[in-house]
Amino acid sequence: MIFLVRDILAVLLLFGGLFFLSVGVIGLIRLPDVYNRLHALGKCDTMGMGLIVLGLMLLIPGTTNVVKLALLGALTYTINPVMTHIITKTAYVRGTPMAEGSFVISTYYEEDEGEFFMGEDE
Amino acid sequence: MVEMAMYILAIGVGILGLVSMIRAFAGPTATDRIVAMNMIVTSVIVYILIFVYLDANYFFIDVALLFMLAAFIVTLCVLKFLREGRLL
Repeated sequence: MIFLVRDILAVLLLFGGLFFLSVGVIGLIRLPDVYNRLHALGKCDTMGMGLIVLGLMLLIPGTTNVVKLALLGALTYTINPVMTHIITKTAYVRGTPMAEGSFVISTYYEEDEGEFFMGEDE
Repeated sequence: MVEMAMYILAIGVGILGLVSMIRAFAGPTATDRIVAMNMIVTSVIVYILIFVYLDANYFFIDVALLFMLAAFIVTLCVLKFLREGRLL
């Protein structure tokens, strides 16, 4: 009985993770801009991966393996936002063009644009 | 039931990796390709974890962890090269 409850909970978590990954990939394909694509994928990627790791932690036996999977989940939750931030900042510094109708409020990089500016992406 | 769910999950994650390869080929800028590569790396890690459960060979969790750290370092190096024009 308790194993049946555990299996149902694990399958629900796994399919939740698959749903989040699917939403992120649909955003990656259909959205018009680098920043929009990162906005879709940077959160859905982390959430889907975390849910799949959590579902596998219920299924896999052994304390060592569960601790390793928890370490994997914690590293995912730390590394993925850092990577998203760095990709966004690199795209902004390189001057990647935005989609039609979007605008920038902050002019944070305007004065030292000459240091980092490598030339425009076409 | 759990094995059937694992097979469905493997097929779904494989389809997601292949679909995000479209963006890696057709992305207009270099950062688009980096974002698509990020998604492909995530799908490969999930694939490794699925086959950890299906084969009951639990040492491959270390392989998934090492793969994630290596992909992080590679992404950092590519982004630094795109941003500054050199690596060191």
